[in-house]
Amino acid sequence: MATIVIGMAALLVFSGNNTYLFKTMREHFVITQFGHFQIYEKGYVENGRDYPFDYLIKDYSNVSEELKKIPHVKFVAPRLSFTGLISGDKMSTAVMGIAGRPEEEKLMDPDSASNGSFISSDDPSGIVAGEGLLKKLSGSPGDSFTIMTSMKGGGINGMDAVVKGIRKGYGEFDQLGKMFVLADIDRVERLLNVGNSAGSLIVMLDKTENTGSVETAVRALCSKMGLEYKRWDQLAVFYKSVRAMYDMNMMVITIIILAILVFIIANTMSMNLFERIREIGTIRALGTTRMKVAKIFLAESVLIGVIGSIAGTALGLLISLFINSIGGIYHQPTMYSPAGYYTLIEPDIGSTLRYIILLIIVAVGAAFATARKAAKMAIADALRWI
Amino acid sequence: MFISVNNVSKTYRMDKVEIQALKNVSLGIEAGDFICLMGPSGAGKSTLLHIIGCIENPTEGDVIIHSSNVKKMKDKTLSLFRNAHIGFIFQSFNLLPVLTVYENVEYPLMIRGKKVDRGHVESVIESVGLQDYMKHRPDELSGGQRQRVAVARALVTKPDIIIADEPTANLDSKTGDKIIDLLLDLNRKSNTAFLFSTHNEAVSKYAKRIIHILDGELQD
Repeated sequence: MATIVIGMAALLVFSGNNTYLFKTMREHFVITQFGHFQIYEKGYVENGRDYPFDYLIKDYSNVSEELKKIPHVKFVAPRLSFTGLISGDKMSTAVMGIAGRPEEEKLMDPDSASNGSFISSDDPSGIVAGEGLLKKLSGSPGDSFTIMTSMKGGGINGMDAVVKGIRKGYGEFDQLGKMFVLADIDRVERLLNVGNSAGSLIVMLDKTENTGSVETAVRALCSKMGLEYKRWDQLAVFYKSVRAMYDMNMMVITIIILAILVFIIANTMSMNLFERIREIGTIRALGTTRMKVAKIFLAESVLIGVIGSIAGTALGLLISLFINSIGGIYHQPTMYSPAGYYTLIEPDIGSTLRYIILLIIVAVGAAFATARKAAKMAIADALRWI
Repeated sequence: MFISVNNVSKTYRMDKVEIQALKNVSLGIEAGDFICLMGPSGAGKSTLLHIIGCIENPTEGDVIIHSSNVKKMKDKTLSLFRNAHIGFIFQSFNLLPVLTVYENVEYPLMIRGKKVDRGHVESVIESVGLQDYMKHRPDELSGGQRQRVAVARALVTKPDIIIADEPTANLDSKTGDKIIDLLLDLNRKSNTAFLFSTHNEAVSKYAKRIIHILDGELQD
C-alpha cells in the first residue's frame, strides 16, 4: 500500500509541475505572440508568405468591431509585419518587424513595456528593439536609426525610428531578438503604402479555456466576411513540440513507476498468499469455489489500489501545498531562459483521476497471477501446508 | 447407507517415485454413525478422510454420497455439495484469524449467498457453550475453545457428516475428552454422522465403530 501511496503522490506532483509549466508557457505564447485567434484575409495562410501585400485585411476597424461583439473577446489587435534594413551610424542590418497599436501591444508585451518606455500613439517614430539587434547596432534607448523597406506597388521607403524600449531576449540563441523591431501601425502603414490595412488581427480572449466556445462565432464571422483564421494551438509549433517532449518524459516516468509498482505488489501478494495457504485450503474445504477465492484476492487488490491512490492523492496535494508555499521549484537558467525561474505544482482533476484508475488497474493486474494461483491450489495440499 | 466408498485407491506421484496411500479401500457409512479411524502416522487416515470429504479425488474407485458419484462432479458443484452435506473439524482448528467467533461460525452459510439466520448461528454457538465469546477473535481463546468454534462451524450447515482429522491432537487429554464428549452429545441429538481419525487409543473408545487402517489398507 505504501508503494502505491508514494507512487501516486510522485505522479501527482510531477504531473502538477508539468501542468503549471505548460499553462505558463501556453499563456506566455498566447499573450506575447499568437493571441487566441489570428484572423487573416482569405488565402493568406496559403499564399500570404509569398505575396504579403495581396492578402491584407483592408479597413480592418469594421472587422475588429464585429469581433469585439463576440462574448469572451477581451480585445482585438491589428498587426502588420514588415522586413527591411535598419541603419545606424556604425552599421546596417536586416530587420524583421511587427507593427501594432501601442495600447494593445503593451498588453501583449508587458516585459518590454516595463523595460524603459514603450511605443506610443503620440510619438509614431518610437520603436521597441530586440536586445540582440541593439547590441549589434551598438545602440541604446534614445538612439535614432533609419528603417528602409519595400513598399506595396514597388519602390523603397524609409522612416526615422527612435528606440524607446528594449525587448529582452534569451541570450545568444535568440535569433529573432537580433532582428526584431516593434513599431506603431499607423506609421508602418504609411511606410509600406498599404493604407488602412493589417496583415492579421490578433484576437485575445478573457481565458484560454474559452477558445473552443468562441471558435464557432469566429468561424461564422470569417465565413461571412471572406476571412480565414487560425487558433493559437495551430500556430504554437514550438510550444507543441516542447509539450510533446514533456509528455513523453511524463509517460516514461509513469511507466517506470507503474513497473516498480507491479513488481512490488506482485511480490507482496505472493508473500501474502504463502501466509494464507492453509486459510485458502480451509475456506475451499468449507465450500468456497475457485472463482470466489480468486475474487477475494482481486477484491483485496482493488481495495489496496483505491485506498492507496486516494491516500497518495492526499499526500501529493500536501506536498504540492508545501512546495507552492515556499515559492515553487527552482529551475536553472537555460539557453532559452537566461534567468532561472520557479514553477509551482498545479494538480488537475483529469490527470489525478486518470492516475487513480491506472493504479487500480495496475494493482489488480499485479494481483492477477496470485489470484489465479490461489484459486488453482489443491485443497488437500493447502491444508497440509505448514 | 448414504456414503459408500467403493474400491478406492490413491497414488501420489513425487517426481519419479509413486506412493500408494490407499489400496482398494471400501466402506459404508450410515446416518448417525460415530466412527473412529485408527492407525499409525502415514497409515492413510487423512487421505481417506479427504477423499470421503470430497477435497481430494481417488486415483481409482468411487465415492457415492446420497446416490451421487462425487468423482464426476465439477469443482463448483462439488464445492457447493461439500458446503451442503459435509462439515470439517481440523487438527489445528483452522479458524479464520481476522473473523470473530460468530463470523467464523457464520462463514459456511455466507458461502451460499443467501441471508443468514442469525438466530440459528447463535443457537449453534450456544450448543457448544461459547455464547459469551461471540465477539472474540480466535487468538483470544484457549485451544479447547477454538476447537469448539470449529465444531460449531462444522455443525452450522446441518451437514450429513462431520469429518474430523485428529480433532484432539493439539489439545491436552482433559480438553480432548471434553471435545469428544461434545461430539458424542451432538451425534446423539442430531442424526449427523461423525467420522474422525486418531492414533490415540483412549479417544477411540468413545466410537460406536472403530476402523483400523495400516499402510493404506483397512484391517477389519
